[in-house]
Amino acid sequence: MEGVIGFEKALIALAAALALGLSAIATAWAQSKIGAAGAGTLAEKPELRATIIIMIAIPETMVILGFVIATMILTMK
Amino acid sequence: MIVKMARIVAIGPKEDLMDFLALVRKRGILHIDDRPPDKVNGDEITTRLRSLHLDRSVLSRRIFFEELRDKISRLLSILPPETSREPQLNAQNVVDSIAETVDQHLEQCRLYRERLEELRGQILELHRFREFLTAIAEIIPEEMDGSNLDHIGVEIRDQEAMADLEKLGVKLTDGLFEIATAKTESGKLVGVITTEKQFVAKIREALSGHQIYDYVLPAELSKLSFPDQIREARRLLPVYTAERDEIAGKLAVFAGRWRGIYLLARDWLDEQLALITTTASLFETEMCFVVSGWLPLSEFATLHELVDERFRGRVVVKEKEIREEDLASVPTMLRNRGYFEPFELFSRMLPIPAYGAFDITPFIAIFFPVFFGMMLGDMGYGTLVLIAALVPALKARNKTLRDIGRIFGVAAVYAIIFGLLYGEFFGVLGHRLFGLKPLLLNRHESMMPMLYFAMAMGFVHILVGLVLGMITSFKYQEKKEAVFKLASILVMLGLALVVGSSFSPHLAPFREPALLGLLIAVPVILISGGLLAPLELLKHFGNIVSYARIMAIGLTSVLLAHVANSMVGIMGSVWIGVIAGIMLHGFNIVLGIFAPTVHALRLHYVEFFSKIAGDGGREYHPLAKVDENNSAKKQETIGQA
Repeated sequence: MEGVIGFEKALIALAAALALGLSAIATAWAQSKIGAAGAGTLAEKPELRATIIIMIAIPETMVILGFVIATMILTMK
Repeated sequence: MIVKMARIVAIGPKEDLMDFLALVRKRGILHIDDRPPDKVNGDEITTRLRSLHLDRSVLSRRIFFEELRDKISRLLSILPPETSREPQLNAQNVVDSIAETVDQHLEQCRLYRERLEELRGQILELHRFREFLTAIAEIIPEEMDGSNLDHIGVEIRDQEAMADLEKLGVKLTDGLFEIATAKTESGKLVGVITTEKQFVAKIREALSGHQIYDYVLPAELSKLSFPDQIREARRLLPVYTAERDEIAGKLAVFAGRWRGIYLLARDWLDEQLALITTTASLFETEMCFVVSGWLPLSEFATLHELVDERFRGRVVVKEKEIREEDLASVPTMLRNRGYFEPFELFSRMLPIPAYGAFDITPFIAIFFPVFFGMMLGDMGYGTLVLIAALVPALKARNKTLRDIGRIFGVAAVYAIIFGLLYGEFFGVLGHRLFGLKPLLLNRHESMMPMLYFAMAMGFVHILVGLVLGMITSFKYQEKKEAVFKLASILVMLGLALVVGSSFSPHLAPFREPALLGLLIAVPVILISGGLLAPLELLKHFGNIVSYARIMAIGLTSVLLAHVANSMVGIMGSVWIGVIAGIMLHGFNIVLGIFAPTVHALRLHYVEFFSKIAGDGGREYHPLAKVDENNSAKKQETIGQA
């Protein structure tokens, strides 16, 4: 019985880790593309600095939603 | 808020055109419209209007002014930024005089500047060798002229390479190789290799493979023997320095005498060119000019008085009615006062709203500090940010810096208030030291309540956005869009009540009316928004979930603060732990300013603004002298009026 409960806990932890980890990878990939394009834009139009910072923050929604799901997986019973 | 505008038409005799434009430019309030005034049937003036054509003399004057301005700009870019007295001269007379002298001055100053740059480069090169020369002066034999020997100056960065080099040198030169080393003042190891002239090239080639760098002297010395190079370098340095100082002095004297005069002339030329360029947007009849434009309504009376006083009735300024079809072409001028003013910094990063739409500055001013406070939510961090923000808010001369200080001052106050609600003072340090307890909830433990709280804020924010968007759509006669937004609001409220009623018995009586409302609103959404309407509705809910970031970023701040406080126990030594803790708190504060700012702004720009935005507007660009300080003062004056 203890073994089954332990396995369930491990699965829950794995699910939470996947929810957060995969969304973090997706965010990182998106930010790398936007960051590279943003750096190029900054060289030509430095006045767009603020807009680029906002653009870089946009994909963070994915990891934040992943974080919310992970929190729900871990806290909801 | 968006300033109420008036549409005006000014008509007068052609000979008064430039004077009228100069007056308007000085006042800096008229945004000139390039569309012709409306033609009125039977009205002789409006039916015979045509675009104003520049006559040949004006065109040639324009070309002359542009060429002269270009020359003056080039001259000013060469001159040092010496402060010179503002000349008390008539600008027009000055322009006539300097048109004759500018070519000569430009050529003279260009030659000075080129020689100055050349000398600076040479002095820099010689300076690089001074340290080297001083160090090797004692090891270099003085009498070398006529001998078959030559020398190579080197810097040795890796002492171990010395032995290899010596072996290689002996091999390459059949033993006719010697290296002497010395230390420079700064501790570098430099040396002189002595060998026969025929081996110099071979040795130089061999050096490149070792950590030994050949000193290359300036080109003009390269043909001399090594001792002569040293003697010549020492002789040239003071000669070059004296010549450089002499030329810099001549340029400074010239700038002191002429810079102010050339600046005066350039300003006058700028003004004349701006006026001539503006005439491209004007209209004329055989005898009259016609100017159509926009200005703040509060400024109309002032302009009217000024024109009457100056032209004694020869030029007439009339206010025209703004019709519904004109709304899209009215330029938008934002004006926010007091608490709201600094937040314009954020709203100006977005496209300017159309005239008649909403200025989102007041909404950013209300919600941004709340979101920031909810995310940072720590009395200790809030106090530090407040202190740091007060310095630029009270002392900075630059308006942008002052505004940033004021924005973060307000945001820090909210961080302190939320810190009190969460019971946080540098994380849990407040609880440990003073037994501080949360008044509302503990973010560390109550993650789900915090998530609901954040999303409830998002719900309110999105709803406000939808209401504003609906009003804008009604104003612009986009009835379908307005109905869709109204139905979206009803669906969101209905769903919130249905969900809420299953958690709270107080909301239970609203369940049935909410369901009924949903039954009515859903078909309306499909009719007004089309087949993609459900997707649009789903986007609204996605936007609300996005506000979960308020909780997520807040939680990272709490956890970092917790780690920082734990450092004292973890590190073994109390002092190292305290230092590590302070550094981590410092890092957390930097992160605690940056992340909430970016994310609070993103919530406004992406989630909130997308609910309001229609087509962007045209920015109000009055005909005025381009000067940042003056334009800021001008905006202030218009605001007070």
